Amino acid sequence: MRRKKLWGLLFLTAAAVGMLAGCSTKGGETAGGAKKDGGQQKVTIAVWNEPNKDEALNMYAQAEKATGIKVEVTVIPESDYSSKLNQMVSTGDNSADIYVIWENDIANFAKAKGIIPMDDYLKNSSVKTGDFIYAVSALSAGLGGTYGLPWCAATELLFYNKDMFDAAGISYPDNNWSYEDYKSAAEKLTQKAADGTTKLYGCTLPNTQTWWAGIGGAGDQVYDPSKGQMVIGDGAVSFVSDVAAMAKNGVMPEPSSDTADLFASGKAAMSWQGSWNIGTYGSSLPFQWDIATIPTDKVKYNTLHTGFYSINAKSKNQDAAFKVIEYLMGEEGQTINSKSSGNPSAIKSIAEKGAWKVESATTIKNWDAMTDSLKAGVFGYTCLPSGVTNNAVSEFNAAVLGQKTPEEAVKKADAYARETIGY
Amino acid sequence: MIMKKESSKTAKKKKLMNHLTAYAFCAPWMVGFVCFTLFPIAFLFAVSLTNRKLSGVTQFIGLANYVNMFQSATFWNSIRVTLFFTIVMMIVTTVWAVVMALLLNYRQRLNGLFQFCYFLPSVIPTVALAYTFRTIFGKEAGLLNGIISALTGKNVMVNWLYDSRTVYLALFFITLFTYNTGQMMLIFRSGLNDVPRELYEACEIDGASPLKKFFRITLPMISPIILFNAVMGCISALNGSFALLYPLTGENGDPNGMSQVLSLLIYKEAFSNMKVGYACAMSVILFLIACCFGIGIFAISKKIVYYEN
Repeated sequence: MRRKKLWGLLFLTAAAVGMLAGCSTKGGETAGGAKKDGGQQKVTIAVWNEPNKDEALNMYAQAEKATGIKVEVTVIPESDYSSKLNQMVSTGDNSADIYVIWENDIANFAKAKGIIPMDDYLKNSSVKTGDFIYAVSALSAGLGGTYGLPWCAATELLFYNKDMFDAAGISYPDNNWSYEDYKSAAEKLTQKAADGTTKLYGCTLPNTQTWWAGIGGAGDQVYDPSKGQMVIGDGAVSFVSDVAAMAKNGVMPEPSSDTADLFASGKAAMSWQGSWNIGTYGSSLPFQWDIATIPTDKVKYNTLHTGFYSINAKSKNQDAAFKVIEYLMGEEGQTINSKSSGNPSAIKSIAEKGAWKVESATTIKNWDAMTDSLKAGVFGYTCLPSGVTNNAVSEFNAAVLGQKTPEEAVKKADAYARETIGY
Repeated sequence: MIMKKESSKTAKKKKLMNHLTAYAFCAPWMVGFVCFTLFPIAFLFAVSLTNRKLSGVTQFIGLANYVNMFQSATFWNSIRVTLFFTIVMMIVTTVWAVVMALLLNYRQRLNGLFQFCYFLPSVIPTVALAYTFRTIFGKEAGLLNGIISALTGKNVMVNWLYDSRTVYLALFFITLFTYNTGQMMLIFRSGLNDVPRELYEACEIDGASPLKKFFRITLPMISPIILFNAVMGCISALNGSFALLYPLTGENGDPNGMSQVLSLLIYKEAFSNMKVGYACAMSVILFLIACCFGIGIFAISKKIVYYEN
C-alpha cells in the first residue's frame, strides 16, 4: 500500500513538473519575451534558401557581426514556404522575428495584421527607401504603410550555350533579339537523330516562371494590380501555340516527368531562366555560356522576383529585428547578397555598382542583359496565388501535349483564376 | 431491515466503482477520440461555412463555399477522377494481393524469400516510392524507356506520366507496390491458410478443376477478408492516394487534370490558394464519399460475403 502511495506521489510530482515546464518561457527567452542567447540579443529570420557556406558571403553572419545581435536562420523548404508562413501568421507564432515574404503574401499578411508597418522605424533609419526601382515602389504602394523592404530584385534571362552557337555558325543572341530571331535560331540549333528523334534541343520548355515571360511578351498584361486579377488572352494563346508547335517539331522537349536540367547537361542550346541561376551555374558548366535579355515579341517583358523583409507582429524583438533588417538593406548587406546570389539590389544606387556580377561566372560577357532586364521587368504572375498560376501552366502543358487546344487551355486557366481570386 | 439497506448501498457503491473504473480505463482513448477525431470533424464542418484563409482571416459566409464548389468544373472533374481512381485502385490492388497470396500459398522452396522480396517495396515510404517511380517513368532519361530501348534496339521515348493513354497504366502499376497492397497480401495469405483442407480434398474427390476450387471454395471462404481489404483499400485510395499522386503528377493532377483526386484539390485550395474554408467544404464532401463507399460495400457484402458462423 505504502509503495503504491509512493508511486502515486512520484507520478503526481512528475506531472506537476511537466506542467510547470510547459508554462515556462521558451528557451533563451527572458520574462519580457525578448530572446536572449547567453546575454546576447537574438533574432530569428525565416527564409527559403540556405545561407551561403562561405562566411564572407553569408549576409546573416555578417549582420550578426555588425549589429552584435545573434541572427538565427530558419530555413523552410521553398515548396512549402508560403503556406508555412501563412500558418505561422494564422496561429500567432512568434518563433521567427523576421519573415522574408513573397510578393503574393505581403498584402494578405498586412491585412491579417501578421506583420507591422515599419514607417516609424524608417523615419530615423539609413535605408534608402526613395531609391527603390519603380516596380518595387509600385508594389508597396496601396498597402497603407511600408510593411516590407525588398531583399533584392531578380530577373529572368535567356541563357545560351556559346559552344553550340559556334558549332551551328549562328551569331550570339544580344539584348535586341526579337522573338522571331529566337525561334529561327532554336530551329537551326536543333539536331536530330536518323530516326527523327531529337538529339539536341534548340531550347528548353518554359518553366513555371518563364511561361509568363512569353505570355507577357506576346502582349498580355498577365497581372492587373488594380483588381488583383490574372489577365491572359490572345497573347497566351499565341505563345502556347508557338510552344506547342516547337515541341511537336522536336525543337523543344514536351512536358514530362523528367527533372534533369537539359541546358546544364548540354542537351539544349537556350533556356529562359531566373537570374539566380547565374550563381548556381557559376563555373560548373562544361561549356562556354552567356546571357541575354528575354527576346522581345510584341513587348519587352520579364517578371521581377523578390522577397520582402518584414517584422512579425508577434515578435518580442521588433527593435532588434529592424536593426538586422537595416543592416541587410544597407550597402554592405545588399552587396553581400548580390555577390552571393547573383541578384541585383532593388536600391538603384547600390545595384549600379555591379556587385551582382558573379565572379565565378567567367564566361559571361553580356552583363548589360541584367540591367536591361531590370528596366523591362514587372511584378506579374508572382503577385497571384501559386495555385492559380501553377494550374494555368498545367493547362498550357496539356495544350502542348495536344490534349486540348491552346484556346481551351487559356479559357480554362482564366476561368479557374476568376473562381479562385477574390475569395 | 437496516442491514439489508446497508448491503444494498454497498452493492450500489461497488457497482458505481466498477463503472467508474471501466470509464477510467476507457478515458485515455475517449480523450484522444474527442480531441483528435470528433473535434476536428466538428471544426471542419464549422470552418466550411466561413471564408477562412490560411493566414487566419475569417468571415461567416453560410453555404457560399458549397454553392461555388458545385458550380466549379474543376471540382466536378475531381469528383469523377476520385470515383474512378478509388474503384479501380481498390479492384486492382485487391485482385493483385489475392493473386500474390495464392502464389505464395503454394508450398515450394524459397517461399519466405519471395514473400520478403515482394513485401520489401511495401515498407518504403510512399513518397520515396513515388519519386523512385517518377524517375523510372521519365521520358528522356527514364529507366523503363532505357530498358525497352536496349531490348528493342529502337529509341523508345514514351511519356508515361504525361501521355493520356499511359498515365493510368503507370499509376495503377505503381499502386501494386504500396504498403496497402503488401499488407493486403499478408492478410489474404493468413486467410488462405485458415481454409479447411478437407473442403479441397472433397472437391478433388468430386473431380473439380483448380479454377472451380478457387471460385467455389477459396473465394467464398475468404470473402470476409476480401470485404475487410476492400473497405481498407477504398479508404486508403480516398485518403492515402495524395502521398502517391502529389510527387508523381503534382497538385494539378497532370496531365490535363486526369489524376486530380479530391485530396490533391483540397491541398491545392488550402495551401496554394490559401482558401482554407473552401478546402474544408471539399473535405466534407470527401468525408461523405468515404461514408458512402463504406456503406455501399457493407450493403453489397450482405449478399456476397459468407460467414461460417
